[in-house]
Amino acid sequence: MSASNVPADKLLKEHDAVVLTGGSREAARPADPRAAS
Amino acid sequence: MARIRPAAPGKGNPRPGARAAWTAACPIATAPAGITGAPTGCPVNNQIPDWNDLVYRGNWDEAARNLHSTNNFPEFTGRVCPAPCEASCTLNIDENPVTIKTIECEIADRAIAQGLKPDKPQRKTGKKVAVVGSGPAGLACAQQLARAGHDVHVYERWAKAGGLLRYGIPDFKMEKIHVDRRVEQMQGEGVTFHYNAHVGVECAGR
Repeated sequence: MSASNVPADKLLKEHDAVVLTGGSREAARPADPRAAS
Repeated sequence: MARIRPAAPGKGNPRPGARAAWTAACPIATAPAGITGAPTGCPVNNQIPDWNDLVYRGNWDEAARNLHSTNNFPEFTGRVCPAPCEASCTLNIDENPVTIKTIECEIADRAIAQGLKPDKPQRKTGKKVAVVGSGPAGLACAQQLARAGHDVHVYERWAKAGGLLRYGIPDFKMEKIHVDRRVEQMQGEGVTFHYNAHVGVECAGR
């Protein structure tokens, strides 16, 4: 079964707080500017 | 002829009461009051000398209560933690350390054998919280939030909860029944699980 997509803005709208953990937390982390140099 | 299944991990000790005897070796657990509170090397600050002492005295119920007060899932860490506590054990200086991880696992297993009851909150806050990911961090977070009275929804990308606990750790290290049992307990505490829900992936072409 394939995963259904849950848009992030919908999640934010429907909940008082959203906690990112594990891989989702890593994915949401801004890119390290030092990595580009 | 059907294969005979091997004993479950951590069940190999044939001598009843042997684990209690091991804890007697803990110099911190048997030290006078005032010495306890020393760093144990545990990343979640399990009160190791305290429950070592409780096990030594045969008070397994209180040991389980103590252990669960600092650790949501001791049956997981009792099996797959790299046990920095044992490296920190005072006895490790010139002897074998106290087998803390095995003792933790035994406390958790005895508590589970008596039944994992949902720990429902006294009152609800009316707040709705989403937890993205149902790995060990997501499950622990969701359980704490639910026990604080929030309406918790866990969104999991895959078909079942557990993340690395389920899809990264092989059965010979930790069987999946332990994850299933905790998920069941958490559902009893009011946590709602949404499986096959990939958060943050927008529709194609957007």
